[in-house]
Amino acid sequence: MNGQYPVVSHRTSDSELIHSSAKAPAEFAAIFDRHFDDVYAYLQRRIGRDLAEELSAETFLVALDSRRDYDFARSDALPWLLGIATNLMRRHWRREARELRAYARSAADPLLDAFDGLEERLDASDKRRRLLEALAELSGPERDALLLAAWADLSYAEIAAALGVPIGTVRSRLSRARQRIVSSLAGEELPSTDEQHHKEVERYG
Amino acid sequence: MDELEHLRDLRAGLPPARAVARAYARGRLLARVEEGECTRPRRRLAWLGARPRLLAVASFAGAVGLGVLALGAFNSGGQVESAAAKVLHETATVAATADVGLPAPGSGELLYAKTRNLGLWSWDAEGKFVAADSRADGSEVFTAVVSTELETWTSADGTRRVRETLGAFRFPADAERSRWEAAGSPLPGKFDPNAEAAHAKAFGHVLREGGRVLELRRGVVDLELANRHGSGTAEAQLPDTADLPTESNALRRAVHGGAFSPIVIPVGGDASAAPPADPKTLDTEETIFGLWTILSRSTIAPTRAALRAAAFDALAEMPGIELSHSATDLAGRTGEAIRYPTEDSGLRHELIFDSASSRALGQRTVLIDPARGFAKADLSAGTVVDETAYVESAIVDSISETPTGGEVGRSTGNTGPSYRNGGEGS
Repeated sequence: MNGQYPVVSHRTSDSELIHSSAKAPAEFAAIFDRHFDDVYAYLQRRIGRDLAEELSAETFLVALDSRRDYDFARSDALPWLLGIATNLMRRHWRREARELRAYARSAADPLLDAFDGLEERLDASDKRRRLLEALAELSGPERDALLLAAWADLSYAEIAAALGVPIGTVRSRLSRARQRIVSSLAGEELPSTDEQHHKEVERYG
Repeated sequence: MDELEHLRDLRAGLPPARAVARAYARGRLLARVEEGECTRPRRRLAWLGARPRLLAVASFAGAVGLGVLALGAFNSGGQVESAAAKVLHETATVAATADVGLPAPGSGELLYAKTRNLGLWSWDAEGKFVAADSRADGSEVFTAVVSTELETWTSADGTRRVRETLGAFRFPADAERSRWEAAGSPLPGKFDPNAEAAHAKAFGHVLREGGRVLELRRGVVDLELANRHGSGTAEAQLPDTADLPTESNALRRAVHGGAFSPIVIPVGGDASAAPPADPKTLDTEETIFGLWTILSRSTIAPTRAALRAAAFDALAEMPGIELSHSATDLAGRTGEAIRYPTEDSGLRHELIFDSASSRALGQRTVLIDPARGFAKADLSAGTVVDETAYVESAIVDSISETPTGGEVGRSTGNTGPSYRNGGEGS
């Protein structure tokens, strides 16, 4: 200890790092070091370990290549990175929904079965099955918004920035998604979202 | 407890990323950083160095004279391998019912195909292609990554038109480009009407065999070939797929046994001059490439859906394959790529396809270890040394017709992509 001056831990913001990485690309590695674990954790919950490992790596490659488009008003890069990860997930929406349905029908979730003991922490009963089913029935954009909120703890504004949509769109998607989850947990039959899904895909790509 | 709390509990507590996966991802990021920096060359390219006994396999269309696929051992793909197998099997399911092939051209019809290509070429002041191993000391040799566009019109009887247009050059160093300009900017021979000796070598046999030159100017070569043995592309020399089995294990064994052998040419050599490979047992890498060639060939030739499905299934079972999502081909299309690094050669091969449609999109070879691959060429890790995108194919009615309805120049000298010199990335 120096005894006189408080030790100040100066942490360069993500936006500063990304800005300086325009001229010194190697500095982008610090962004990887800060956020890889969070990006991976989010993806792993959605699609399992193998694809999460691959898409996490891809996320940072895409981020590196598109860093000049970063909104430097945002000091925290995690929502931006999760947005990229979510975009990379899009081609796996159908697979994700298919697997969620399969897991809901089976007694166990293979994603959890790979890790001894974790299954016991959850209420492995009807509630989990209903949740998995409800997630599977959501449209891709709804699932993206809901899981960015529930599993990545992003705010509405951060989700909007991550997905590149107006905040009102996020509100409506979350509202619909949460309503479906509530209905599912209450044991109500879920209406098909196929038509809605197609409209969303048409509108947002 | 509200619904979000329930959701937060779902799949909570999964273990963190494996150290090896984290290290792998970080390594890929740093490699991309290096790759980005290598587009701003810092060092003079001395010469394309010798790679003893390195062989290349001609990509089916247009890898003329380029080193492509080195032979040797490769790494295990570890956990990523299972993801690759999963996607390949799923793509096989798509391929089994996909209608991506073309019918054989009928009487009076032609099969049109277009590819976009990149390649690391070396040529001398007379325009002659120079193989890395054969360069004489003190001779004036130029090396650059060269882009080309190749169009072919093939009729049912095998006669065809081949039009190749030279695109941009990317020299590995400013000094290399300056030296080339000082020498009068000589082009690789067949693209330079003034390089008579190289020209005679490139086209003499075409004329002898009854072909004719439709257009010849700096950067454009347009030929009508009388038979299937002319220069320009290698796809016509690939074996037929009619007898290949459609059960994946049988197909793998057949390809491994040499039933569908790619053409082997020397680095810096000319595919048109390369004899078809003798049937032989292929090693693992060659087998992977052979299976892939069935798929790439299917972009220009009628191929049974069941055979394409079997090729994807067989690839899924090959050792050492890794998967990359969101790969982008030379034409800017995104898909997935399987890749297999080769430790001996310092190269990594990437085969790009669209899992949603099962279409083959393209392929590339990337230098990952300059100490082993092109060791004396002074190239940086990440340099793409060869790339092809299968851009377009269709049945057309004449050798001047394209699928988009436009006519490609024939003896007019004023259409088609123009040659542009140097500059890009240098």
